[in-house]
Amino acid sequence: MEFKIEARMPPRLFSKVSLVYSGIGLRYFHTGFIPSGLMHLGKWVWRFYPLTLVRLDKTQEQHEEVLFSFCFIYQSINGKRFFVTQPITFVDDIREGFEFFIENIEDFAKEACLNGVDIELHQVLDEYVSYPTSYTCISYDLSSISCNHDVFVEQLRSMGYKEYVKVWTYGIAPLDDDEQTVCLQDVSPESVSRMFIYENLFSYRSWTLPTLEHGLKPFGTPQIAKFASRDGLTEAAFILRPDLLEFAKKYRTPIPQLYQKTLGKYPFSNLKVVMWLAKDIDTLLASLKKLIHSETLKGFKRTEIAGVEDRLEEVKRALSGVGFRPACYTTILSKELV
Amino acid sequence: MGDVDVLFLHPSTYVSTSDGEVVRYVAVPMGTFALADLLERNGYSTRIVHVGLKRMLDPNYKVENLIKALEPTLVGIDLHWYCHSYDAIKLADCVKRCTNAKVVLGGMTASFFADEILSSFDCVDYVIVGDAELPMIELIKALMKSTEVSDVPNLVYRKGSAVKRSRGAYLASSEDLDKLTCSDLKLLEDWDLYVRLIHENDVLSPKLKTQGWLMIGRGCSVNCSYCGGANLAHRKIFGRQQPIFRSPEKVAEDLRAFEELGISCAYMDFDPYTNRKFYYKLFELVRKEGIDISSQFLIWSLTDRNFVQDLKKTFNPLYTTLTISPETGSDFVRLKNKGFYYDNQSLLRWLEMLEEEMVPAELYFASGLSGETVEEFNKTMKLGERILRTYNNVVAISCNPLFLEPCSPRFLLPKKYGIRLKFRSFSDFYKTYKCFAEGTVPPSRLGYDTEYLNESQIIELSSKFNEVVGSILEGENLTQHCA
Repeated sequence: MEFKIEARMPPRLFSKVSLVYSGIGLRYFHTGFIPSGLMHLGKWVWRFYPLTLVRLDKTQEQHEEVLFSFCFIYQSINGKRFFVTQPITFVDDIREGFEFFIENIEDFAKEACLNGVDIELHQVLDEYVSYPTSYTCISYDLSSISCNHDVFVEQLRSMGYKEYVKVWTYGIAPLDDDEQTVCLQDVSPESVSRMFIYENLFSYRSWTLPTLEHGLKPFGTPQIAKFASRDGLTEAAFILRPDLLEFAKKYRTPIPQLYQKTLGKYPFSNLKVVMWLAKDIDTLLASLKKLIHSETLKGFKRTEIAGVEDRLEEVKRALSGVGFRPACYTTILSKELV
Repeated sequence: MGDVDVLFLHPSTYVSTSDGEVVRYVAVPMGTFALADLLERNGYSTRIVHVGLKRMLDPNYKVENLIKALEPTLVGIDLHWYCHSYDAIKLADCVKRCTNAKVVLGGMTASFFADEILSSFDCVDYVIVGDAELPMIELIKALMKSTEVSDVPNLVYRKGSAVKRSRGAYLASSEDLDKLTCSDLKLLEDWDLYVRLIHENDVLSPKLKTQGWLMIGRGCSVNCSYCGGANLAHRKIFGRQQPIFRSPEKVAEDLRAFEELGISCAYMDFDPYTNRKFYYKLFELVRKEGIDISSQFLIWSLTDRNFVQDLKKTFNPLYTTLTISPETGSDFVRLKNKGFYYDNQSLLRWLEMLEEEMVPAELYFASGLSGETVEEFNKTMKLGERILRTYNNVVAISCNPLFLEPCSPRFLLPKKYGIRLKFRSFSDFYKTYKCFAEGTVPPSRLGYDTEYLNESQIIELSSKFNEVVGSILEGENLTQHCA
């Protein structure tokens, strides 16, 4: 069987799985081309690569879409790299062509003199994972697809990939607020982001895609930003996002953020803490309880917290202790090319 | 006898810039695919070569080598759009220099200027005026049998030094169009790259979508002042009084073929009647057959909510947009120029409805319209800015200076439309595009002045619009991303 990779995102992807794109150039997405690029070694290179693996049957003159992944070049703390988001498969035999796909990506990355390739894979543990389901600007409704985490991890390990990070998402239904010692304050998302980047006093923080480049992580409105303080001192900070996948599914749109008027009135059920930092675990828990309680009063039925690195055993234990259950984990596997 | 009987060459427009040669106007007329397929089905081997695409892939590409290798009996060059005036003739000349193949031109520009082309350019043997399906079959048949071409319908040809018109006339009917297949893109070499050409001069950048142009019908019911495909032009060139449609079944068949070719989005630009009865039937068929494709649907007049809802439930939302060309922000100017009139308030209400229905819109404006002054154009600027700031579902908006189109109402009736023509003949178009290709400054770029604006002003106004729009979008991206 012969394969080839085409740079395109097939419509059947959207028929198969609800998705939300919330990256740079929201308005451009529907026109089929996101005009975003970067300078690399003195040359202009395009940023986004929507890659479709196609199986060719030359005798029948037919082709079949096998797999899709939305990829991009990004500047990480480890140099410029190629990021491969969760591969979505269209066929039963998911192993077929995967190696070809990855090898071609590596060839492309080598040719472009990129430092390495990172691949994001999800393992779903609960019935539903709310938006954002990815640490990048494209999120899929993971409940409607097979992520094939273990199969892909095994294949990638055999190709020399190593685990770079494993990050957990926990979810919880309404939570009682028995903690009165923390004050929550609405702030601008920018102030939380600034604190996240520049403040070293907070020992506990969420994992995010290690880049400062715009539009590669989930972004834009609606979002909620809060500082949690005790005795006038900020001890934790959060950015939360409502579940745009609910909206995307109901209205069949991949770009909910183009419709702010309707979004503003939409009764979301799910909310996710996408960025967080806290001075200690007690503060994190107290703030989360207060936060979730107050958001429950506004109508949210379930809250998730993302970005919990696997190594943060105390945080994981603490979350489980108050009733959070693992919703999914994301493994990022990496390979260095130079 | 060569490898192919008929070789179709698509001439792109070459423009010399300070950065080197760029290729513009890369779309191949849909009729070319239909003709190639029809000839194939009638036993003649054909091939379509997109010379511009070849040059994009390989700047040293020489079409002569291909022509010599294939030794076609007949070379068909499309001269549908005026922008290919120079390059189509240059290509014809190239064919004549390397083979004995006959050269036939077709398309609206070639049809309109048929006599002048044959009188002026020896490298062109024939021009098919109007619909080309039956004439093309008859022409190749005559050439293969070495018989007279005077019976080939719609043909203009040279006999000695005289330019003659053939006896027969052919006007395609809806039934004739139904015999055509317009979706066999594989007849074009590099077709898989061609479907990636959703932006000019850019085949290699990574795109989300691939696109195919869908042939739905021919003709127009109205006369926009600037349009070379208006009702008046169809009457004059084809003898077609009113638009004709292919059957919904045939169009759906092409959509299915597009889907199978991995084409994500069908470009649908044929909307001559406001009741859109045809489309309700087509959409129903597409849904029934489960064809999974997006549509960039170009509407010629405002639609009602029913149509938008029907479109939305028919096509995959990934790349589905409604595209409209209000052209101006002045109700007065729109009334003077557009075949289908609507005022700004109606346009804004329509955009609001689209936002409610969650359908993205693309909008196109123009400068150089009849009756347009700088003050009137300011209304276009204001409307564009207002739309962009109000409706996030407007995903594309731009303004372009209007070029003079052959056989457009303003070309045929310049006084009525307040136009001072600078292009009157084919040679004016030819010389202008020759200048573009050679990197020299043509005496006229647009081919006209209006009673209120000269060419430089017209070009400048569009640039100003695009600058303002660009800065809004840029600012929007920065604001959105600072979190």
